[in-house]
Amino acid sequence: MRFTEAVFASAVALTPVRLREVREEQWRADLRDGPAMGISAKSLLFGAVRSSAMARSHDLLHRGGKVLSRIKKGENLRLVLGIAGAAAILVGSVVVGIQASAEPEQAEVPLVKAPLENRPIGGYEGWWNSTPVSGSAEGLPQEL
Amino acid sequence: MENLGRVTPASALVLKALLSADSVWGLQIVKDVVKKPGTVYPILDRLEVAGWIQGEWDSTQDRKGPRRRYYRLLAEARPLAQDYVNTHRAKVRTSATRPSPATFEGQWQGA
Repeated sequence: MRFTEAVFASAVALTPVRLREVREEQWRADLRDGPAMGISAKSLLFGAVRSSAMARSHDLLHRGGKVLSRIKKGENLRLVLGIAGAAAILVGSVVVGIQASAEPEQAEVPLVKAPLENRPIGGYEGWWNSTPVSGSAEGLPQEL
Repeated sequence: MENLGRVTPASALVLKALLSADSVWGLQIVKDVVKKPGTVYPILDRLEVAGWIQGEWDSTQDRKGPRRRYYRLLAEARPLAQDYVNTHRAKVRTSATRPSPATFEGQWQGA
């Protein structure tokens, strides 16, 4: 019962103010008489929530459209200035934030990206630093 | 009275229920169209906002407590509502008689 009341109260609260009183009485009557007609209270509650949500979204869309059309006509100058000011503050704070977080670049440490055999190993080039299987160093280039 | 734009089959059924009497109780419409209140309530709201129907309270005094809400299809909306209902009826008839891929000239072609 408490759950039903909570859902019912949410549906009523979600309904636009101009319809709230009418819908509340209508849905209370439906909840009272619905079960006798074979319509469950649960589905009636769902219907109430859905109806209120749709009425609310319709209201918001309608109001948004009205404000836009008034702005287009040059009315609501205070609202336009307010929106422009808020946008300027937002953009300014973003720019300041980006500049504050930017740090001077660190000097890069050079990395050797040569192939493995060309990397210096202990002062010698890699491919010179090996001894043939025979053990003889004859004919090999000599270190100066 | 605003144009409804796209009318769903459920809306056409609601309009048909509204055409059946001068004034119909909201829950009676739910029962007549065999749809859930979650489908019917928003349709009624839409019709009311568009100026097609008018909601009014139950005037009988013998029932105590909250009053039932009745809906009346406005006179200027009746011909348009009838058109929508007829269109929906024709669509239903066409889809019922159209042969499915498994039939040929209405005859079952399966094994």
